[in-house]
Amino acid sequence: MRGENWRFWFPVVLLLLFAGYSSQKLVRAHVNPNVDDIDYTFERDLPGCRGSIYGSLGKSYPLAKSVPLWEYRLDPVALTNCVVKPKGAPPRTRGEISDTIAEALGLDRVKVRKMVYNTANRYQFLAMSSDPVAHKTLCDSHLVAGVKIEDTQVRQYLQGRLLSHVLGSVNAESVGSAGIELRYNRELTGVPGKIRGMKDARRHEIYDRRIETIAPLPGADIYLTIDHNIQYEVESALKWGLEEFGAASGWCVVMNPATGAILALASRPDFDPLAFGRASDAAKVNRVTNFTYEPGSVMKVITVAGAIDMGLVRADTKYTTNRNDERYYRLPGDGSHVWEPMMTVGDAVVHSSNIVVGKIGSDMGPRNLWTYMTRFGFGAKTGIELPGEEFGILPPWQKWDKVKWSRAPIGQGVSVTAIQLCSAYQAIANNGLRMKPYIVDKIVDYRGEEVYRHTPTPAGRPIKESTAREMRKIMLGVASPAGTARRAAIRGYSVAGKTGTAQKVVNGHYSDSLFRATFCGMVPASDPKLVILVTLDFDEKRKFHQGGNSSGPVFRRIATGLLRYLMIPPDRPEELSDFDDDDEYDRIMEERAQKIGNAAQ
Amino acid sequence: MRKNRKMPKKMSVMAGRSVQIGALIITCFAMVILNMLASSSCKQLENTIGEKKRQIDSLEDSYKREKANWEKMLTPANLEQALLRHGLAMKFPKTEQVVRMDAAGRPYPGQRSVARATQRNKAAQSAKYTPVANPVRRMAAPRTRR
Repeated sequence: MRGENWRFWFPVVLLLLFAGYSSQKLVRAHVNPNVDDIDYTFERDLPGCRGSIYGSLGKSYPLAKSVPLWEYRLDPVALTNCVVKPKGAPPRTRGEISDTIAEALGLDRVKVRKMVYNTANRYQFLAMSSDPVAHKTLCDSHLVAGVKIEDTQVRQYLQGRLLSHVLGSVNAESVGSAGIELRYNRELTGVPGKIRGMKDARRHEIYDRRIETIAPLPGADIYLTIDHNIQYEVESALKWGLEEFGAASGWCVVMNPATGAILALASRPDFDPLAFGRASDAAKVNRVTNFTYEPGSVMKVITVAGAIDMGLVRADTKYTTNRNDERYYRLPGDGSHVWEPMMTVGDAVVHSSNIVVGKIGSDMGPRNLWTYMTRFGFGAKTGIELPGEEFGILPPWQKWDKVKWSRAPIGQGVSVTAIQLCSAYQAIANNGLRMKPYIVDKIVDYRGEEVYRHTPTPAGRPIKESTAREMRKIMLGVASPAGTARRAAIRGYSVAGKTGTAQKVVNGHYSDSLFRATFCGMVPASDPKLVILVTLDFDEKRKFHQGGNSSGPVFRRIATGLLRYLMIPPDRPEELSDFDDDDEYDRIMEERAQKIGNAAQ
Repeated sequence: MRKNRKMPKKMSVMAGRSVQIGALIITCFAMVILNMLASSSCKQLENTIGEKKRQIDSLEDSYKREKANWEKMLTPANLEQALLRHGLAMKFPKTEQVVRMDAAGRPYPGQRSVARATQRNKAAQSAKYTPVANPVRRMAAPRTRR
């Protein structure tokens, strides 16, 4: 009996032991799957989709976004070892396969053949493509072999080179390397996810044994104040200006004076955001925010505004144009305006008189001059949301010598950025209230919730409202037939602005042939809706190198387009019925200017 | 002596137990089979779901790509190029083709377009009320034979 019992219980116990062991393994595998297989687990970061950048027109017109693409690489060894045999046909040769690959991806056949026969180099980059037909062809094992396809995300800049300095670029790891992409990299990147799973002996993931997948959170979307239509208009006009007047580089800012919002920002030479690494250093510089230069005569507006605000002068206060005045120390030269023995302050701005403005600056004193310059925002960052903004160079007034004291009022000896200059003119356009310039309107996270929205912020009131109005009245003359920028005048609209032709410094001296021509204006002057700054930088001596002759027409081209696009009504409608078209208007303005010039001489 | 053919008590107990154990094993086996069937069906469903998910992802990706292509075509530069390809050069309207109005819908004074329209209206009205006394009927010139 004892023997029979043993025969019965032994398999039962064995079965129970096996069942117990199996269930214990199963339970352990469920509770803590990688206790025994530590070597076969892996973790991989799952990058989230980078947020998009939009303009002021919203989601329909993205400026930068990440698009899923297929990355194709060629493994010549795998191609050689595989037999590719279409149904009912002989096996395909390497040459035939390489031709199919080249045709599908639109590549050069000879180049692909070379890659196919170069077995020493595995995983050679073929192309990145979003073409579904090419994808289908290259996935077909009856047609091709040796092509490795990886899903990837590529940053696309849908407007091409437009706005390249504002948007910036990303590197191969999708990390921002310039512009908004760099400044808001953290917000755009989002939170990466994670994959934990098992891998086989070949280190390939076993998809059935994935332990957990933590989905990544997409990055936030950034909405800029830039309107891409305005930007296109500005960049086209700037390109035209550079070609027409032979300038080496140029930059332009368009600002809404009521809020300080940047509507367009262009800097030339520009770069292709998809080839940022190959761009030259000169092309990478955003000349609006990251480049300082002596502004020249455009600074006279600041000096005169300060003097009027102090109550030192009025628009009709007269000054002598005598350069050898004993009361003043080393006044600057005055070019072509020497014929008038006396000149009003208003005329000094209209004719851009160095002597009169130099005298006004001397009368103000360095401390007051410096105070007004700092109130207008010079010597400090404006706080615009772009990386690498410069401060400009405005030394404390205590360090000014007498030469600087006489030169600073006319824009020599101080360096500014274009955005500072535009911001200062914005204060005049906005009745004396300077607004902080901004380019990022709002940031919206992946759930559609606003995480940031910019509210227009005042940055100070450098001058009184009455002074700003008086200055605008004075500056109206600059774009009149008598002024230095008659080519900036726009039919039907009043234009207030100021020209500046700054000599460039070469080997420590002011050059007589190299200039930076600037025109900064506001339109319509009665109630400004746009402030536009245009600067052309000349590396060679050119016929039209003055602010009025070169930057003025660019300003006019930009402003004419924008006034029509933004449907801003004319404040001088009577001019519209006076002339048939712009050419006639130009001709009549030129004639008037000739008459005024002849009468003066 | 007749042998007692009745099964011994211990043997009957053992037979009862083996029936029970057999039933247990059969039940376990049946459950294993059922589990295998269920898991196989789950696996199949999982594969189907995975396939559908991959399909959705792929469709979403292709939608994103198509959208990006569409958006690229809508850029001002590309629109201009496309128009030029079809021989269309767009420009802003002439002054006389634009009527600018204030918020109340009144046209701004001094506009060329308004002046032209007023002029045209006046001309039309004067033409409408001008009485025609003796309308001159133009006769066709008689044909001459050579």
